Amino acid sequence: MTVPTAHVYALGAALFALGVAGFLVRRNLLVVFLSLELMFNGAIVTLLGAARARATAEPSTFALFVIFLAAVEVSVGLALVIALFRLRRSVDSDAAASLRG
Amino acid sequence: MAEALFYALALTALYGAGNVIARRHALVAAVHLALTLFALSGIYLLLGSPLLAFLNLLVYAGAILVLFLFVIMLLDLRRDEPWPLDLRGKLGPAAAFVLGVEALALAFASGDGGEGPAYRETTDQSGEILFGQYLFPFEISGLLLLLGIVAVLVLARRGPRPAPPSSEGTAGVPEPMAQAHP
Repeated sequence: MTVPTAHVYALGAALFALGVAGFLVRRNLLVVFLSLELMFNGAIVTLLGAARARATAEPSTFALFVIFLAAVEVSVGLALVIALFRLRRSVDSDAAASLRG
Repeated sequence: MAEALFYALALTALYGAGNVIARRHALVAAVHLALTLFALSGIYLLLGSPLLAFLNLLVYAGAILVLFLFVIMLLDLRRDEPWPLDLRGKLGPAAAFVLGVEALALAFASGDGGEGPAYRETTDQSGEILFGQYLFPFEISGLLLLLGIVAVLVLARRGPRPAPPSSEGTAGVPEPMAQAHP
């Protein structure tokens, strides 16, 4: 396959940026976490683009660590969401505003 | 041929990603994330990393997404977030960030330029790197997973059981919720 590396990077950046946009704009905490997953995947695509550009398996092995991290992040994050839901009966991120100054 | 497939899969992934952040209901968003993940697995395959494509399907689309779906259905949300979204003061920073990241990526890519060589890695290579050079980080990430399990167990505990059984019905969520996530 002869796709320019720039296009692979652009796809990774677009996924990451869409994830950030969702993270900033949405209030539903579950969708916020889905946006986080988009960001992780953008990072993985970028790592794979680098692996191909340099013809070494190192960046794509590093991408495995991203997946490990995502698994831990999701389980802890969803546990927090459920804890918040028990407390406030809502998964709106505005429901957790007790510390607002 | 493979190029056309790459662009088609990239467009599918971006379409799914757009729907993840633009759909009102979390369930619809999660299903669109599944679409994105499947498309991305194809892209990983095309980029020459079959191991990552397989693990992406197994861990992301298999485990993480199912966890999301479980939680979304478990919470059974009655109150949705206000729709259409209140975007005042949010759209500007979000758009600025999106454009900034794209510009940065293109700047980096111009240094890497040209067409990527035909590249295909084997699981042997990944394994040697993972269990050789990155053995210590690998063990640490195992520890991180263990810590995650412990943290989730602590978070999922219902705390000291409230003494009066009468208050159970108003504030409580049904008992099975405590065991619903690993």
